[in-house]
Amino acid sequence: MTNTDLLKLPNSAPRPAGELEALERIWSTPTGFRRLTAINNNIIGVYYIATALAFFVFAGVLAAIMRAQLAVPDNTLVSPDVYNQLMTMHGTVMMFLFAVPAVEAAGVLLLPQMLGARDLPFPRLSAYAFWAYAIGGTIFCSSLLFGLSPAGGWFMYPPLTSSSFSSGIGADFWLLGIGFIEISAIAGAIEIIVGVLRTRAPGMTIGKMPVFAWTMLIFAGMVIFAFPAIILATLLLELERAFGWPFFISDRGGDPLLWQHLFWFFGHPEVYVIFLPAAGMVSMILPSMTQSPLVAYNIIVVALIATGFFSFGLWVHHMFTTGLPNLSLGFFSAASMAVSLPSGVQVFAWIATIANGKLRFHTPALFVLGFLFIFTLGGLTGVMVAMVPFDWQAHDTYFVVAHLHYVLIGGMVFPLFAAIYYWTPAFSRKALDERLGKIAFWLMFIGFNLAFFIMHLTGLWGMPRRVYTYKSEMGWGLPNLVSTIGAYIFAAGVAIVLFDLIRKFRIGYPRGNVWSAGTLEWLPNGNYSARSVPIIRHHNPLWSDPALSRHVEEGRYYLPGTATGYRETIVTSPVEAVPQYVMIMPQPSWAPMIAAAGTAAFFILLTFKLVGLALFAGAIAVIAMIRWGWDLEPKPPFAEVDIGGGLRLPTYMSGPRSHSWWAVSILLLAAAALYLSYVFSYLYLWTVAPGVWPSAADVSYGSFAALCAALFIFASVGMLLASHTLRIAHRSRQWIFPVLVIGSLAALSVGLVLEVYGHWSAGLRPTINSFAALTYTASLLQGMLVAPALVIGVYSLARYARGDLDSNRRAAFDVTHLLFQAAVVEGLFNQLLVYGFPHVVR
Amino acid sequence: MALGLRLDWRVAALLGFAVFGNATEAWCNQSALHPASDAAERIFNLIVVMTAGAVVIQLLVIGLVIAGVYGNWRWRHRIASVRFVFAMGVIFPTVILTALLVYGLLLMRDGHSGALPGHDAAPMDTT
Repeated sequence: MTNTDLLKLPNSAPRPAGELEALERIWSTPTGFRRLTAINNNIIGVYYIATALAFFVFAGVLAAIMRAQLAVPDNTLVSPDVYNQLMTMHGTVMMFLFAVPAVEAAGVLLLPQMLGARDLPFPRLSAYAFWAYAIGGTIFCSSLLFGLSPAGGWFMYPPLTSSSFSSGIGADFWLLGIGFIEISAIAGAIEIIVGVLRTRAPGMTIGKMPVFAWTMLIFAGMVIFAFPAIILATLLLELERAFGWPFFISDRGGDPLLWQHLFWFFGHPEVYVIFLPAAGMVSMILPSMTQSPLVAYNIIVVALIATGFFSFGLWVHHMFTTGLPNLSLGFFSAASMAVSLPSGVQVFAWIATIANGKLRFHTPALFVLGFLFIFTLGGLTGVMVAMVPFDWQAHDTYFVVAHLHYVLIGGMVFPLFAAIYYWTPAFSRKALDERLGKIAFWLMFIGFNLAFFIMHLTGLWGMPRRVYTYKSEMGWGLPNLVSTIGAYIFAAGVAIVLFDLIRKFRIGYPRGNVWSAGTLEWLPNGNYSARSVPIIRHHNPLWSDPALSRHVEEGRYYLPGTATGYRETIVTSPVEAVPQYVMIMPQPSWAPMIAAAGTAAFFILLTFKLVGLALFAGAIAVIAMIRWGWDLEPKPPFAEVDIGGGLRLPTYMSGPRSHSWWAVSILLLAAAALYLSYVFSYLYLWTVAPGVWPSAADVSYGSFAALCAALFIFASVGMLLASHTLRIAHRSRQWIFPVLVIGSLAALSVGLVLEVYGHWSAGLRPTINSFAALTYTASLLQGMLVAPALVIGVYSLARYARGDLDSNRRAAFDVTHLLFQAAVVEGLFNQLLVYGFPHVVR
Repeated sequence: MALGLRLDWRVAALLGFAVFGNATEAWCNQSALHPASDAAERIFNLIVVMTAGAVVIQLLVIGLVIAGVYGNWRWRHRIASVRFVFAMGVIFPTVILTALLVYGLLLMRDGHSGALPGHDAAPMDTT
């Protein structure tokens, strides 16, 4: 593609009759109860945010009950056990069911429109992630009605949450429920990374991308690397609770501190996972509110990337009082301060943007100013708790409660509410009410500061967090009463916003660019996003070309209709955004929702130890997923299509350029992060309890290791050959490919079974000590790659039999192949770790 | 916004006075603002220094926002520059935080060690 090609657009020739109607028809949303099958981002995104807000209200009500309980000393409104459940559920729901899903939902809703794509690249995956979250989250919340909720605090420290001290199913609910919702978050993150990197409008180079897209990209990358740590932690604790595998029991070589490391290795990046997209929203809203471009775009982007990196080096600052050596404390203290730099840079860049233009005091601007005030204060108290000696005093007091609410409500809720007011007209037929919005802002701002500012002092005056009541002679009665009053004022503000949303928000032809904003989501749009996809040359294309909206709506740019007769979007290169191919996208379907319900039921039934029923639900989920994949990749009617401006693009792509290859590679990065967390746990427990590790002489069953390794390598070579035969595809020898695939899948599975049998026959039992438990966990983790490889392996063979898999259309096999080789590599590493490591250290 | 801040400090000061006046023995025992040992005394000094610093920086940020919105052309021109962002966002906090970190590390050396009294190192070797 050369510059002269680009200059041919906008095309001034009249558009053919019926083009727009065809586009509208193919993108139309199903009506009636079939609306539940919708997968389009502007429908799913709205459901997603609405559900997140519902959980926000639910957790807020729990907070209101707690504040009522704490309003006066010696109160008996709720019992200690109920209070513990309220406090645990409030934190858990706010973090896992509101904050993370809300920003992910904002990404799903906003990104396609903002990037000039028709939809995110895997709409059925978005629908699946949404339904899994909505169904699983609702059941999780309902546990409170039955008094079955977890009560160990939102970070669930063992040994309090081990089976000895929390024998009910509350903790299992947490572990399985949250582990499962993290999986849905990872699914969403994969979608977002591929969407941001591969479906931008032509010409929107990575340096011209809106800051919100940058933040969602970094958000998703952090989810990919941080969330596996919590998935592993929940898996280990559940294995310990259900089967007695001793990872956190110090009598048998475990260590409760391992949980804290894994939890905070996830938990600290999580804070920035929540904050970065909110910061991205602010960087989008301020330029509109001031009618001037963002100052220091490049510095902001560098700051965002730096935050992403730094946030992985801070987790120990949650553990300053666990008795670690001073040297580690000093290092993590310094790192914790360093991370405040990039946030500070952004604050001053926003102030510079305000000074650069003329701030208009609309409701979104007020919420942004409130955010600046609250978040700055939260950042300052963050520096205070990053100082180790101060933390010795403030740890586990209300000072920390104040700090975390300042950064989370200030850093995420205020920007989110700014975003709700700002973007509603881009998706709803009506904008929200400005007068009510301003009233709501002042109630929320004053209520928030009243409730939480005093808590800094309550904490310094010695009130510990998580207590259900306190004695009147402690002198904490008055500050607590103030906090309670403030909390109710804040809640009144939230109620006004929700009232206005219910009254005004209607999906349909959107109200439009009421703020005179400059980015693509403000183009006139329908279900298909913008009618045609413009060429992007500036950060604020609507400002630099005032005719852009009209030309886009008249279909004068790329892909003004449907080129293949299917839903489709342009896939571009990741850095320069050069168009590469037209991707055919799926239609609405029941499959994602059924798969999600099956997955949710699988985990919930496991909580109740109903293994048979759980497996049945799991089978339904797998069948629904296969059904969902089955009609993807229809045979394109044309190998190439003209998308306008003289540009012809292929309609199918396989190999490293294809979106499916990218998605699976990112999934494998998450799998690698999971495995690295496992290796960390292995080495950590070895340093804690080297005595339970066997000596080299004890690991005498090494012959099994050699056999397993040989089988894995054999399987790997078989799969490579299968890939090769698919490429050359002799008509007469069609049997070779399936034989190779079946043989490789069999060798891999047999290797895994033999690995477990080897441990068992040598007398190793996972309940003996942490070494044995970790050894079996290695096989379990490998099994988590082998099982899906088997399922899609068989699925690929079915496609091959149907004639839907050949040297060109081979994405299903390529996906299997990637997963398969990852399972092989993990298997080989396992042999080294289990059999090799004891030889090295003894 | 400025109103919000003043309100907070007034309420805080008022409440601080009210509770301070009614302080009992039990309350004093648990308050970090009533240090009873040398180590706690040193940390109390740190609390005072950091609180003062935080108030100054918070007021500075509010002042800059107000200058950005209502300031004259010259002020706003100065603020709306990459140089301002770099000076305030990178250089200024680096200097402050380095000084603070050194102070904290010195306190850690002078105060008690990381391991709290009554806590040995992490549980070891239990086979």
